[in-house]
Amino acid sequence: MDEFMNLVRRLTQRYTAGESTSVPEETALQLAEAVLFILGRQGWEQEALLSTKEARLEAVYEEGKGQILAEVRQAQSLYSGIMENFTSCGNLALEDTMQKGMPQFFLRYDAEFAPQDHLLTLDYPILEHLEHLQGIDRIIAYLRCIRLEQDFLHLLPERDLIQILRQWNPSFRTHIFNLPQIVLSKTAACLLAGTGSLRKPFDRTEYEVMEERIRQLGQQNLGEVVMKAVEKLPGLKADHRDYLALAVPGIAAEFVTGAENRCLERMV
Amino acid sequence: MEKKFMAMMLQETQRKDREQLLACNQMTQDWGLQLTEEDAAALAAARQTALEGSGRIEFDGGIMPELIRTFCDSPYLQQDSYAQTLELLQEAFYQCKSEAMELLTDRELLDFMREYFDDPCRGDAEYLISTWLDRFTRAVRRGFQTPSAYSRRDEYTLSAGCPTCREACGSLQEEEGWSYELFLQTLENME
Repeated sequence: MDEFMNLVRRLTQRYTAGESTSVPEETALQLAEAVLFILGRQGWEQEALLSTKEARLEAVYEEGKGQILAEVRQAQSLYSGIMENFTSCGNLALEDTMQKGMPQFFLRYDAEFAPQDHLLTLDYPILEHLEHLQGIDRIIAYLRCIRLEQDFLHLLPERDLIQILRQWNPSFRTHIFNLPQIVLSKTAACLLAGTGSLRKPFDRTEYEVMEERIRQLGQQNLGEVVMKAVEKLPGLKADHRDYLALAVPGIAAEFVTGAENRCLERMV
Repeated sequence: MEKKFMAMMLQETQRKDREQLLACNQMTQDWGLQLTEEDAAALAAARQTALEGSGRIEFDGGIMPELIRTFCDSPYLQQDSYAQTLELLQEAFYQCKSEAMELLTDRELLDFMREYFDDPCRGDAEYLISTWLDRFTRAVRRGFQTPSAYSRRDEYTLSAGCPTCREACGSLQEEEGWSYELFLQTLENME
């Protein structure tokens, strides 16, 4: 505990620049969490930390802080790579998160006093759940997901993507949704309806064929069919497939509900 | 985590308090001001209450040694009310730090307290707290620039030196001045 408290004490002194002996409780807690976050990434459990008297804790802390800074640089380079050929298809949530939010993160992220804070609300929803991650870890994981999504989206010309999204919902620009999930839904729907063109809207007969096939397959088998469609997509690596597979259960459940209620045309 | 951490912090802040306060007696003996063991214990306990009341956490010895150093040469401090005055000032200090939204450094607040404690408060800590400190923190919250804020600005603008605390706080006076008419009226009423 002594060593941990010493780290928090020194961090507090740096935070106040020695001009204040006391800080508000929230600030003290934030600084303690900052130390816990950095040491936690170095493999120290919270309980062990509060009871340790190990003197080398400061060296571990400094090393952890260095690693965070290195990861910030890594995230910056990942972000720059994504933005070289970035497409949002006009979707505001994705555009704002990547073009307005991310630069602010790199501008304001505090690796010393609040490394556990990722600052952004990350409004654009990705397929992976990252709620268990904090700070730079969350941002790096989020950017990796966006990288995979962008690779997938670049398989189709932007014009076609916009066409698919517009058919799904004419106000797709302002809706908050996952872009690859919609494109994947459309791909799976084409497979079920037995049509070849992603750009063309379905007619009534095709919807009826789809409904019939979905009823025959059931949710479990349908999921497998969609998964096979993902696996057959050209130009994708295992990482991409694993990531896109996260959308499959949702798509299968949606299709089953749509077929049961005869409202597939509102979904794809 | 939060509760456990707070308990640890509290335990930490209670350490060495008493010894540090008693060590200040050496510094204040020239002015005839001394704290007894009981006074030190009471002040240490009051510190915890003040910190909890103002929602603050403090490491090491706290502000009291600095408070004593700042106030010990005041002509208005008396041995019989010394501990009591320190307790009031300590509580007011933490309260003001929070009320000023962390915009004041310890030194700025102590300087203000010391200066106004002598004049116009003439050693009346309660008057200082209820009137002047209240006005001061209100002014700070509204954007009043403290001398240190001026200094930070001067680093870039290289403008003329910053005003003293009293010059800067001159506008805190809210009372109307001496009214001769009112004085006469009061005299007439007395008759």
